[in-house]
Amino acid sequence: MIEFQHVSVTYPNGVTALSDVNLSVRKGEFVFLVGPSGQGKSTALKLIYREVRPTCGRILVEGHDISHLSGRGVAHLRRRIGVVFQDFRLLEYKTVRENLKFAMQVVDTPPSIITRRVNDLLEHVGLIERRNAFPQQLSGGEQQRLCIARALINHPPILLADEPTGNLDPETSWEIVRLLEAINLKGTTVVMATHHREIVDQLSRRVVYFCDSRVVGDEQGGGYYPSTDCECEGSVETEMSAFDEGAALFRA
Amino acid sequence: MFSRIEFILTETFISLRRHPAMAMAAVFCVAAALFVSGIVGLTLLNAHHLVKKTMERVSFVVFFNTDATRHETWKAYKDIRELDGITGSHFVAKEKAWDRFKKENPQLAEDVGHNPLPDSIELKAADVKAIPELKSIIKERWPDVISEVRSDEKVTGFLSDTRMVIGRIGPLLGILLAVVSLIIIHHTIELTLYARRKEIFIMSMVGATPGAIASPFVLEGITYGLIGGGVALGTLAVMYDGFAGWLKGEVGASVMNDPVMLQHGALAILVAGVALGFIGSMVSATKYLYRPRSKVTNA
Repeated sequence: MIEFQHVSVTYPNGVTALSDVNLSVRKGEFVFLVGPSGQGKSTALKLIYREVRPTCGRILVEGHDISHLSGRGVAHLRRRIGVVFQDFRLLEYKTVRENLKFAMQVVDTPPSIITRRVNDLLEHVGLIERRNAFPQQLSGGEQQRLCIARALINHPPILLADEPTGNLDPETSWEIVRLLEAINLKGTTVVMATHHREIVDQLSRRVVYFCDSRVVGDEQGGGYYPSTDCECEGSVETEMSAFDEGAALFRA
Repeated sequence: MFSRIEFILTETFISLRRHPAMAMAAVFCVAAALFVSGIVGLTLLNAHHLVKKTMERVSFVVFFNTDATRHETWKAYKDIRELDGITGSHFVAKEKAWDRFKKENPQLAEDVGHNPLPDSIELKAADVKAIPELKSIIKERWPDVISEVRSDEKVTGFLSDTRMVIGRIGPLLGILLAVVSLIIIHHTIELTLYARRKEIFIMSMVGATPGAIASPFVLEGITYGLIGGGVALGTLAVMYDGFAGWLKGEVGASVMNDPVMLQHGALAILVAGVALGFIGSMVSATKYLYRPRSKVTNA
């Protein structure tokens, strides 16, 4: 479904975001990308939805090399991929329903389908009662659920989530992860970059470990920390301790 | 299709409503540029109109020798009027010229006593610029019977030069103003694009093509151009009408009033407004949408 073949990314300032990454994600998988900040998780996701182009190597999505797509080609690729962000990126002046309608209109969905699809998605993410509310009237979890609904408007076979629980309390984070699990159960491939140790440990899914811009581990049913040792400049332990301390305080 | 149209119209309206000051600034600038262009255009049209009317009246006169016989002058007249470039001719017999002179200057005519005037011909040329050449031809061919060929070359030269100067300065000024309008619209749309970068990002993430993303912004630019053109046109119409009335009342002269020409001019202003809006916004949208977002070095 998604394949990285010797992919490297170097930014003009000389920073290497990814170095010779090989990765393969099969259809219907739920994959966590973990590792300290700045080690290439987000860049890996950006490469899949073609926000960034590889410096070298190839990326295949559904069997197509996406490295050299035109503007129109990128647009069509993105209709096959839903993206969820940590900061939601919702339009504040539009209601819940209008946020979804906007995203469907721009890809020229017929009005009759828009109404039906918007209602189905809102039902699916549990926001049907809140359809006329504005984003600022929603809780963080509700905003993220709306963001997920928007990512699903085109029935994408792939859903990418870049730290979707990063701005949420632990309880709401679990709500979102459960929703992503439900979406994955329906056959959508989910790739999620996260710093949330508890979720990764408990879900026991495939985990890809990023460190020093490389993939240093790939375990099926793995936990937040790789079972094999790896030396990393930015410590995973340090990155996570702050979050987990916060989570523990919240629970207390 | 209807979904896309509704989307484009809604987003354009939202943009206009959310940035009224910017929208007004853009409309004002387009209107100002097109108004000045319109003034230049109208001045040019009226100058052409005046030059054409004046040139229609410009003629030159051939005076025969006083001792030439009527037979000789009449024969020369018949040959001269057949020359290439002569569009009108009128033979003035010396008796008729003397009668006219006596009517206009009775005292002087009485003092002179006898008719000193020769036969003459009043001629009109197809092209004012050809008059000097026609004068030389006539003088060379009939040296024995013709004493003088007279024309007001200063007037014809001045009119011809004036038309040429206006014809050259007008379009240059128009182009300059069009460039200024383009820059202003371009920056206005660029600011709008920046202010709406979140919407653009979402559009791009859900798979909107660059054309679909650009369309509301291009329509916004066209709207600015059209409204600006309309404002300029309205102002010009009111001012031109007022000026025509004043000129007729005070000076008794008339302005160029060809309805077809004026309608074409009005249409040109609106088309120019739309074109300025379209080009300015297209440049901004293309620049914004195709700018390198994540610069990655190539291997």
